[in-house]
Amino acid sequence: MNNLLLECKNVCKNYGQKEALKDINISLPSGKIIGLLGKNGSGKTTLIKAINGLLSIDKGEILIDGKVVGTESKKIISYLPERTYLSMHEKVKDIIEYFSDFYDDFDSDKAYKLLDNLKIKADDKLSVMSKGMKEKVQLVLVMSRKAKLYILDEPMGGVDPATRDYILNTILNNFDDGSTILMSTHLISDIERVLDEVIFIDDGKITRYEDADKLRDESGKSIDEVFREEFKC
Amino acid sequence: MLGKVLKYDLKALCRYLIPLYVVLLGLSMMIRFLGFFDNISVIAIICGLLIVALVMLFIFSFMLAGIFLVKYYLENLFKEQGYLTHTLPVKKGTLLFSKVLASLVVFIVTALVLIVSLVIAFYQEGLFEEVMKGFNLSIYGMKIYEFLLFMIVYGIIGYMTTILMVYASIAIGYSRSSNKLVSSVVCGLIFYFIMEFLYLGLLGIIMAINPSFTASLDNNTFMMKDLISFLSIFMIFTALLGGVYYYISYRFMDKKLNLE
Repeated sequence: MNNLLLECKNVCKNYGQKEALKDINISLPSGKIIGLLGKNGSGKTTLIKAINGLLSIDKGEILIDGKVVGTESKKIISYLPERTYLSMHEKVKDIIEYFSDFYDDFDSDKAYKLLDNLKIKADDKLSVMSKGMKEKVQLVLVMSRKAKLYILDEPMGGVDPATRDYILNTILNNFDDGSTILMSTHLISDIERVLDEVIFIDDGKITRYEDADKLRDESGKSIDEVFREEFKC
Repeated sequence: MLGKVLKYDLKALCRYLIPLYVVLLGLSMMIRFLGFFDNISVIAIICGLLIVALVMLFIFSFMLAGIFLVKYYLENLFKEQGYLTHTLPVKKGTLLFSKVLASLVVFIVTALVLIVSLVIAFYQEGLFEEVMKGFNLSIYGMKIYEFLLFMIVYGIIGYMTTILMVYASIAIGYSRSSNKLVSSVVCGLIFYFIMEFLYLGLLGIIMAINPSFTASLDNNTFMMKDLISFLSIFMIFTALLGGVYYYISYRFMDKKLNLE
């Protein structure tokens, strides 16, 4: 169960003169919920985008289940970006058809069921939905896949506490035990109870990668407190 | 996968193009309808204005279709939607090739809609017979339909190459970390001037190799096949440039992708 699912070896990325990722080395196992924690601009989204092939890296190698980033790796990653990527002109049923067409592991019945819980109908148009509702639709689509690796970039950013609870419950209730979730956030207190492992990233470098319980036991503090201490401005 | 990607590309493009086609066909139908009452001066004036509008739309319809194609390419691959498009389990080459095929389909459909609009607006009894007769006429040793077929192929290649030039400019511009749109425009202008320079160079080479060609344009030895041979060189060169732009777009999408 503890085989490596994601490996980043010496990954570097520059934006002009700015080093966004500095020699990142991490290996993530299967079957874990892992928090990627860091301040704004620390490199969380850049790393996530590199893993998803949305930006090219300058140096190093990224392997997902032993495969380089490409068509095969995309079959096993279900990715939720920190923005809305759906076309606003579409209806919910069109988007579900789109996901069904491209992802073999997409379960449209599950998606409709989850959307039904949110009182969203197949004929509803995205253009008339609120921002929070669109984010929920996107989350439902991502979690309706039976992926090996779920990568969620700030899934709870900018939403109210009740919605945060809904999002977290949807994530926890809809992923397989054998899958891994890599979730970036700075709302640590909301998610720390569910984390198996934590990665701290600061200024493009991994500063800590530890078992969540071990970190709490050794420091005698919550992860949120450890984070606040380490990244005090 | 190509079929699936193309299906969604065309579906998305329909959203932009159907209103254009509806306006074109609607204008033609109104011209045809009002034509029955053109003995009334007010209606004749309206009909004249509608014909002007239709002609204007005719002139700009390919340009409008091109703008829609570029807008869709930009949004689907390099803006927010790119986060979904580029995380689909589809090869970059397939994504790009689908956009090129969609451009070809749009060109052909736009041309067909234009022809249908013309027929609706201006059809008269015996028109098709006259057109067929005209097609079979010969000018300077070549049937008109042969020349038209050649020009259609040339037109398609020229249109596709222009679209691919813009695609390549966007792929390069959007690989940068900042000023993406400005970089794309600058890149497009550079490509345009290089292309013009290359065409001039090619013309110079042809003239140097075959100086008698320009002289033949002014005297009665000119034959259409000479012009076709001359234009074929440009057509092949344009197709090659299109291939280069395609490769540049692919390369930058595959190796230098940099979504905001």
